[in-house]
Amino acid sequence: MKVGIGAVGHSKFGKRLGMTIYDLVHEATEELFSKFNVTQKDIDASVVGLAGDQFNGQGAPAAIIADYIGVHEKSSFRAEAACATGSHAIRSAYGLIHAGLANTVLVMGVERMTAVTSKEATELMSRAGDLRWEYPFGCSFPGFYAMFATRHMAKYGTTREHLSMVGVKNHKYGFANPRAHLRKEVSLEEAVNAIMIAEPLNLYDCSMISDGGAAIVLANEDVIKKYTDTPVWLTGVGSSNDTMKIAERPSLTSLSAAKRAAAAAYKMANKSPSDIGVADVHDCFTIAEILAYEDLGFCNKGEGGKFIEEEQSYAGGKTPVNVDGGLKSKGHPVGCTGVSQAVTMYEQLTGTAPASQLDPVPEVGLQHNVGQSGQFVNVFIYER
Amino acid sequence: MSKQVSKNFFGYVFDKKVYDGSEFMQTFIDHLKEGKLYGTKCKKCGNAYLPPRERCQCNTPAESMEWFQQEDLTGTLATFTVIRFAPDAIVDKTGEDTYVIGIIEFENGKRLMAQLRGLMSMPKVGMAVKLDFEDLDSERITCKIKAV
Repeated sequence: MKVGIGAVGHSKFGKRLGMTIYDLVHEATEELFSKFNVTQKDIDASVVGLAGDQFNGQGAPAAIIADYIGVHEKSSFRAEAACATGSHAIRSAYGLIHAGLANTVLVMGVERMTAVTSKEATELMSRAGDLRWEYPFGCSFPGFYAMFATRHMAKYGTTREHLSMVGVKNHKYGFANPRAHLRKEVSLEEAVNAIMIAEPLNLYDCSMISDGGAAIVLANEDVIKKYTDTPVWLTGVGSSNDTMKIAERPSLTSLSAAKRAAAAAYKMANKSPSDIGVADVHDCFTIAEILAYEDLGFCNKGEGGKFIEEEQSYAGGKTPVNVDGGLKSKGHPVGCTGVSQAVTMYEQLTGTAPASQLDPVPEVGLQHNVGQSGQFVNVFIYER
Repeated sequence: MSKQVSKNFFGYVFDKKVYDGSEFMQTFIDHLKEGKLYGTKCKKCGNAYLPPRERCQCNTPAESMEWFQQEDLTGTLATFTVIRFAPDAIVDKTGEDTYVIGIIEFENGKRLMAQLRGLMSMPKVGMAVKLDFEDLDSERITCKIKAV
């Protein structure tokens, strides 16, 4: 049975004062219900993706969100896997449909993060580390990825400039994206010389703390044509976890969970890296995008720096990556990102992207959504 | 029989919630005070954990775990970073808003995260390092990585 995306909606990402978590979802579902031929009556169940209760304070958020969106008379619950929350919400919905418990599921991703200060956010996010063995040393969240970057640079000769090149690309595409949080192009020189956060990662290597909501309708092939003439099928679903502590990872220059998830997704969809016409990868930090090129097989191990230097991840390159601006420029409302990536996949594959539509329209897309310091990874493949 | 609450804590900052009632963490810390690093090993499946775990991933009960000492504290620096934007809790506790965190890799392949202290120059991946211990105050004790 084929399962696909039949409708999408997406809010503006940014610092959205005055918006609650349910207002942000509503902005996305308003678009979804108006642009596609779907109503609340069609929804058999919903899944909410929200990772950071500690940022907005509301307990059991799926309850208040389902009520506000008008789907509270059907089942709803919250899925959480740190920054891979959004894709796990999608994977849960996929499972509900395949189990025959629903034909049509509304998946809503959201995060409201800017009510706390940057300093408070840094402390909250440092608790993503092992509380007994990583947190006690004051490892900030960027610190984990900074340690991957340090080793990648030492082992493969990846440079400071390579990291910044990723930022420059994603800023270029974010500038064009009307929904992006930070719409500002940056030069390589500016990006290289920005203030340090956790060496070698500087301000332009780190994604935004953002507010935002996104929604998709996932449905089986029996009902999806009611909602849209152009469904996009979810043909590869790969998922894996990894060790908690980064010191216990099989590799400090690769996310082994991403490799396992990608292998499973490619196998299920019967596709290989060279089939991917557009990809959204999890650039929480620029190094994460470089690791993703390698882990997803877009280039050989250690050659991620060369891949961006040769502009292979730009539109027109071997594998366009993050042409919506990525987490770096579009923004990273944590629980929402995985759903936002799916919206980009739908729009790119149907030729309806609000900006930077690839031409010709790609036939196969891939989303790579990572949680925490790589403990959770989902890789999904989409096809027309 | 009630378990003794850990009197001491590991690291520069800590969350008491992961210590409450833990004889296990107190045992680990008591060894640190003797200048010894201990891990645990599962008698059933042979898995060794450094830092230690109270229970094994093979899901046998805690009784199957035994302590072992990591005697060789020398190794190489697997990676590091200089934190420039630090979490509030550690700044409030130590007054430091910049410090170096790294991972030491022992000869036997086990790796441990800790701060690098007493550096005289920028660290390098692969450089020779060793693990040392420091009593921070009556409550806290930590490991630290030092250049050799």
